[in-house]
Amino acid sequence: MKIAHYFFLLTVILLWGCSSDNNSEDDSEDLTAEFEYSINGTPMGVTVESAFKNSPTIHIGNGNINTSFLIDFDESGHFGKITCTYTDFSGTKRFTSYRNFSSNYFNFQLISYDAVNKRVKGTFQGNVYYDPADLNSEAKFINGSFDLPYVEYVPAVTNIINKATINGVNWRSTNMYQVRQGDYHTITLHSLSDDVYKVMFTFNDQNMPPGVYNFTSSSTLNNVQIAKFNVTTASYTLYNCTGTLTITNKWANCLKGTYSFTGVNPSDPNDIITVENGDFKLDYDLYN
Amino acid sequence: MKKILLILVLSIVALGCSSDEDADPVVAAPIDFKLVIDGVELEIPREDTPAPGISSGGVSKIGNLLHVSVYNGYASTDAAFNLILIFTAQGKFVSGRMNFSSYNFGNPIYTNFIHFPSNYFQVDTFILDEVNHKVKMNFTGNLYYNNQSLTSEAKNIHAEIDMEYSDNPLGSSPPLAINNVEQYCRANFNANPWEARYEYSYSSFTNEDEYKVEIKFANSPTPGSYAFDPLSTTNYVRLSKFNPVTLVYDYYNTSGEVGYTYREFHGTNRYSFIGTFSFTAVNPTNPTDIIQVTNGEFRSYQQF
Repeated sequence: MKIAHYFFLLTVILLWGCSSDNNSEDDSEDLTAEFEYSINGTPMGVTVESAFKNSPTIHIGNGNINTSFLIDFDESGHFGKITCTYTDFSGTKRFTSYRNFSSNYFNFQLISYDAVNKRVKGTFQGNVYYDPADLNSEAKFINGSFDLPYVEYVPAVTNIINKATINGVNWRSTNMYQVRQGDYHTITLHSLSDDVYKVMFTFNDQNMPPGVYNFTSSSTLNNVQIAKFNVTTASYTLYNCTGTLTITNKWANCLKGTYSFTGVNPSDPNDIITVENGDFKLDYDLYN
Repeated sequence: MKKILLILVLSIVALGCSSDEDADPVVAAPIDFKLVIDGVELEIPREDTPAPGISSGGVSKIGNLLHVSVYNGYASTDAAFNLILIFTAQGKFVSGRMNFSSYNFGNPIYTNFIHFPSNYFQVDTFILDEVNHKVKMNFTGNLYYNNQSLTSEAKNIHAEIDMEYSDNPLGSSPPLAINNVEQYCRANFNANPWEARYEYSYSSFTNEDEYKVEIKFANSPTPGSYAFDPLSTTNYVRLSKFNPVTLVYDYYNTSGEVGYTYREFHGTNRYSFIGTFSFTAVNPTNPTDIIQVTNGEFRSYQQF
């Protein structure tokens, strides 16, 4: 072998053999961010670098409820809501997905939730309404997709949740709204998932100390109720509920406790819903 | 010659391909600031490589107190917050406060449990290098929505800090004050200096430790000095110690002398009494637990 061949061999070995594993394997964190959405076919120019997660809720857009775009869902893929603003010749209006039985009216797909690499990927499309409780209100069609890293954060109040088993099946709220009664201080908190059920708490915001509250279908305060959405009538059937609500803590605009009860369809005594292991920590608006 | 060249090639390969890792093992970079709140680890950038608008954190020494501060400005989470935790230069927790800026939750504030606060923040590591202005500390504790309730809504905070601190030796904490009137209460407990940092209710003084000193005078315009004992109903000083098991203060039997040289009028039956005290405190359930309180001096607010 000629000397030149030895040096050629040396060069080849050095170039190939000394390549490190680090160069052959890219294990860096995937920070690619893809997000787009359109309203009535018009792409909205919005740049989003990450989603945010406050277990178990994930949201894209500003977490503030008064925002130009927000979609939230949970890590199991249950849809919460989408809200957005749209501006045309008549001005800027806010539109929100229909809040009742939302999976029946809005197509949200969580394609993947990667807790290890902290990424979420999904698509969404459907109508959003000027009045989230009225399918006949002004509507816009929104569609979009996302493939984003998510960042976990510490919320002002941790573990806002309402979960229970409904007829033995795990249920967890992904959306909520509140209604004040005529005397202003009586509040009903409506907790919804993307299914047919909603769970309602009625209490007086000035007088509900921690304690055990037994309630029946005639109770109008300090009680929990369940209602089931009827797609045909686009309305809820309110069940007659009897059970126990335990408030373990109440502070500022938050309420924490447990509940269990039985609901009976007022039109069909054989239609009974058993709600067990209710566990909630909810916030309410102090002024609206 | 060929054999020599072959050996040369193999030798170069063997030596040349040894990695830097083999020759000089990588030493893990020191943790600058690891912060975990409610189980969520937040990325706190180094001060020299800040992430604009995201968060920042650092330690400053103001006077003889260390201030650990974090600002987290996640604008998209409705959860921006300021966190300030204060420790003594000996590593004892003094106080903490976490202010949220939240549209959805009404800007809640979490603070330390006000009774015996140092007992409720576990400091596992504390090394203060005052020559090089470096501090290493690990700690865990809760801040509460209701600072008098250990069962109220809380934020659990864990931090691991290993970094330089900024020093402001001439700085000082705001003075203890009631209604903008400066107050103080200090003494020696068995020859060890004790000084109040808080006066949560009029004439009731505490600091990060378990002790509470309470002073009460009768409504008399004439300064005076008074002997007192456990049966005294006015013109006395009381000493108690917070019991973390029962969550109440256990009172000592106190006997000694208290007096004031001047009382300052603040309007409508409100005064600051300025005076001195010394007394002996005996634990009624353990007579060998005796605290000699000497050189006490105070400016104490009282309303009649």
